[in-house]
Amino acid sequence: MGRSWHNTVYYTFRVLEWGFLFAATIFGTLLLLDPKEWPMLDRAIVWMQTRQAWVPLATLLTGAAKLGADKIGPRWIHEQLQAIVDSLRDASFTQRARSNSPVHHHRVTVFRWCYCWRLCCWGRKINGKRRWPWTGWLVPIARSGHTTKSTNTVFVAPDDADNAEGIAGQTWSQNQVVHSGPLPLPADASDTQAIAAYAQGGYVSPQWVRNKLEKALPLPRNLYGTPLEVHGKPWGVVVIDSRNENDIDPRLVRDAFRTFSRTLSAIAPRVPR
Amino acid sequence: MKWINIEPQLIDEGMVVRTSPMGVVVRRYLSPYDIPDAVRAIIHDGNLVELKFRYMEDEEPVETLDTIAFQSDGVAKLGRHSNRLYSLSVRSVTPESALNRADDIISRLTTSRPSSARKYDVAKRALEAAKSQLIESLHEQNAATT
Repeated sequence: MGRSWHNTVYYTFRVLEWGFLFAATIFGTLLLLDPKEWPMLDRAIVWMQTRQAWVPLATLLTGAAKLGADKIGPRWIHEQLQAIVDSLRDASFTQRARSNSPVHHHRVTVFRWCYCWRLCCWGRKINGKRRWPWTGWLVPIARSGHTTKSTNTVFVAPDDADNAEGIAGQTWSQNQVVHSGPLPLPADASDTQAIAAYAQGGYVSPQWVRNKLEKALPLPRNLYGTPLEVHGKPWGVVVIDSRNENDIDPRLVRDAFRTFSRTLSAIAPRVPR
Repeated sequence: MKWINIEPQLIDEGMVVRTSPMGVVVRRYLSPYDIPDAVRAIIHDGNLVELKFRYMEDEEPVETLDTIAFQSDGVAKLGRHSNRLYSLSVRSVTPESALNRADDIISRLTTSRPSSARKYDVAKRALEAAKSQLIESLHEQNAATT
């Protein structure tokens, strides 16, 4: 959604929410009044009493408008989260890594653990088991930079923790930092040895790697996942990836995460689902 | 009673959990939330020593656990959700024995709550890393009160 449209739609919903709430209150009050005791309002009261259904209708519309506004969320939350993620990215990589490669070669992605109702989560077979929206998934909510944002990649993070998918899933299930690399870069979809090594190191299936290669999507060569907590409870994970094989320094990332984790924990849960 | 900072590297160097023939190495580190970034020791009422641990996330509500059940006269405060050790109070005559007793209580916590043993082990290592500074701080407080 474009920036200007985002705020327009959000505030339209907010205005509708308060408008319907106001209308429901006025309609409800008019229904309670006796026209003989309120001669100044008698026409309005009689008019309202013939339209009693408007009260529940206005109440329902209030709820619907609130749901709409909550679903979109105010723009400042997205902007704040983006600023934090960008700062975390800048602090996580060395100056050499940042200056020698494009921004999207070294990224930070924030994943939230939740049920996921996307089509790809209905009956997807992972490690021989069918997974469903209510299995538990790690869904990206923010990514550093201004490109490579439109991603459909979600990782299953089920209750049977051994089958958690990807570095994100492993980080979630173990509630520990997981760092994997340097991952081999398969030449093409027929490079079975490299695909197998990549899949093993990235905790994904060989088919997952093949799908990426067939769609000509780039594969990161270094992955680092760290848990994200809110009030002492696991909430999601942050994954740092790099296309270079040696550009993730665990000490640097750990220090950067310690700096930004508190603000990240405060803002990330406010992003609408 | 200043906080004594702990270098995370002193507590956790990481562990290799998986390697592959093509040179991929998977390492695991403790969650940064589980590693105390500082500790401090405060003396109350002459012989009650309180050891406090500061973590990245300190907004978690705590629950008090009376460790008399472990045959040690100490009180531990644990995170309600995470079970992290936030503070430990022990009665002791000397700073050295207070730290030894704290060490003993943490060991007992580790065995009595195995699901959170890793977190208590980290707290123990943090105490070890800052032991000399904690003893020095306690001696200073003793000297100031007498």
